[in-house]
Amino acid sequence: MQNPNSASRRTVEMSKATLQQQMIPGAAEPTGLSWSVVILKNRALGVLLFEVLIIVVFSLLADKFFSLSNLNTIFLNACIMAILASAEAVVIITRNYDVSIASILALSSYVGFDIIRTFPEFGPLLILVPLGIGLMCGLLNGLLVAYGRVSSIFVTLAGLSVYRGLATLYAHGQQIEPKDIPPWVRDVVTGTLIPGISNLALIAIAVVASVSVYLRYTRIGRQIYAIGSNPGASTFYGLNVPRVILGAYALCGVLTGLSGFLFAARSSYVVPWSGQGLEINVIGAVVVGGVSVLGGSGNVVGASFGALVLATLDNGLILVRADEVVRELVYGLAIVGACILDASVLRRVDSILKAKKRRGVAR
Amino acid sequence: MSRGARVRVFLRTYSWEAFLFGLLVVAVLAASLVSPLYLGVFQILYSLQQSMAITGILAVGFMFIVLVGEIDISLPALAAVATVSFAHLSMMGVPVWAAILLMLCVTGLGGLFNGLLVVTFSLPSMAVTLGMIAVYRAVALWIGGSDGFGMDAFQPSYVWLGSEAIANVVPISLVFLVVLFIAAYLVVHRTAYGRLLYATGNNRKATYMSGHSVKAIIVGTYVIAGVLAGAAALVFVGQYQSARSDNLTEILLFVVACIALGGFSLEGGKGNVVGLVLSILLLGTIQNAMGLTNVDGSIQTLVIGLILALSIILPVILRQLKKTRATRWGPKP
Repeated sequence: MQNPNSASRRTVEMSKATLQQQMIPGAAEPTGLSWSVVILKNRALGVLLFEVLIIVVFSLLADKFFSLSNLNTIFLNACIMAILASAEAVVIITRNYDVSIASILALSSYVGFDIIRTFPEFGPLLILVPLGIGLMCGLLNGLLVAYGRVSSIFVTLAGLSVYRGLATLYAHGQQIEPKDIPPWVRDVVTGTLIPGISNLALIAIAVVASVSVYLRYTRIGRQIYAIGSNPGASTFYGLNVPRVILGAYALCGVLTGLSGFLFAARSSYVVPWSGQGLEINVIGAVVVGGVSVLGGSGNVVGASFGALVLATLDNGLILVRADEVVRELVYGLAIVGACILDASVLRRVDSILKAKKRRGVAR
Repeated sequence: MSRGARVRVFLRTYSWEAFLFGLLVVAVLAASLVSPLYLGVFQILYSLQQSMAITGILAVGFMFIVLVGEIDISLPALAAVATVSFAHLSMMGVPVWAAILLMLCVTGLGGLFNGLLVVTFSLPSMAVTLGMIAVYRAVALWIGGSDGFGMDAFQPSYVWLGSEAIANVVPISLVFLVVLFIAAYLVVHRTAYGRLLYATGNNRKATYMSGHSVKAIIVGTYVIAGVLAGAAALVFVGQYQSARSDNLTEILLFVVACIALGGFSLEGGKGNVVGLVLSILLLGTIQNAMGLTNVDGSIQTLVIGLILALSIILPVILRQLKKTRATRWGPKP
């Protein structure tokens, strides 16, 4: 009876000893990560550095670029994209895609604003309508991806056309005119709760920050990362993988609904074809923001910085009078470059981990 | 095996194709009921050519990439590059055979570039080809300018493939599509390369371990898809007799719908050419019927989306049913 117990205790002690052996030299050695890898591992920081770099470059090239009003314009343009990129990032971290995001935006903004127009007596409470529509679309996507175990690209591509079609069908050739939109809607976006800072910026910062905190510090947030980095291991560990994926899609839907509201509130006419093709920019922003499309790494703050980078590129390239050809080219190369960077970081981290493992085995 | 057993095995192996065929029959019947104009050889062929020739050619190329478990969403953009290049070459007075040869090489090189990007850095193909969309659009914009080319840019020989019809009945692009289907069938199901496509899609590591260059196989599929994108561009030029850099932006939905409905999986190694052909015919028939009954364009997209959703949901439900039956009565011997 005693033998197996003591044996197991011995192995535990042994493993503790080997662990300490491994850890002590590890602590004494330099970390083995060069500064470049550190920056690349905290990719949000890397993206921010890149943003500063392009701001400097554009400031040198175009004298109109570096002014408070222009930087403010860039920031405001990036706000909605930042929320959308955060939404997309949550799904991409689980190793899935959502290409229906622009159609959800259109459906939630049009139907939401139609209801806001029809029932003015409920006032700001009706912000919940676009959020709810976004939630439902997200849940529908998530149900099929998570429980149907179908490729997310197929599912959300179907969503892309269905949600857009529903929006067009609902609109019936109409559009919502600026005079029909109650004044409180404009106040939500253009008002200044804190003097000097537009509400839109406040909302975007608050949303990105809270989603980032949620992903980093809550149990479900950590589960989202775990599932993205290794779905098989997560299942064996006992995580309810489908439910977490469903949750990720639901969160993405709600955030998209919010963006739909903000998008429509910023533009004068609300139309069912708004945001067509936006999903490509959104996924581009997420990729440029250092979120790995292989899942499990990167964060929402990085994705929102990615949106900021793309908005800066857009603005700067127009101010230096670059051709549309150049703009598209820079845009595409940024995405491809981010992918290559991401893959090389992954390989580097992998080889470092392997080297550590080998050293452990040698001892 | 008795004949009954053989039929059962056939139906079990090709259940999805049989289902698609049934749907196609239903669609044809429904189309002939809702519109008296539907039943007519010329009408059917003409409308199939209009709606499905370009989509079908692109879908065949797409299929090769999907079989090995990758994706290339930049194919329509690559085809757009080819359309404006054709227009440019036509304006320069280049003879058509030289232009075709050149463009197929160029789009093949585009595919090669995509494939090399994907395999050398082992990048996720969806994200990379998303970036390549913008790159190819830039190239197309650079060649074609923002206005593009109109009808007068083309010599008659350039629009031949997309607009002529044999005996004024059978469109040449459809004949080309049928030849392409047969070729694809032979390559995928009758050659060693075809078997390797399935092997790579099902288990990349095992294929590598058994001594095949997985990278070369994958790059090969990208090159095939690239060349076919060039062919699709030639048909496009003939059909619409115009070329702009933003051509073919909307077609990706239809191509992917064909692939999903055809029984393929983006994981790779699933689906066959017969399924693809049936799904292309089915989508073409449905579009034809909707066109004849004057269904609004946005509703047409909605219907295509719903069909795509149906093709996703149905296997899930069937699988679930099978599972519950298996647990209730135990697995079949």
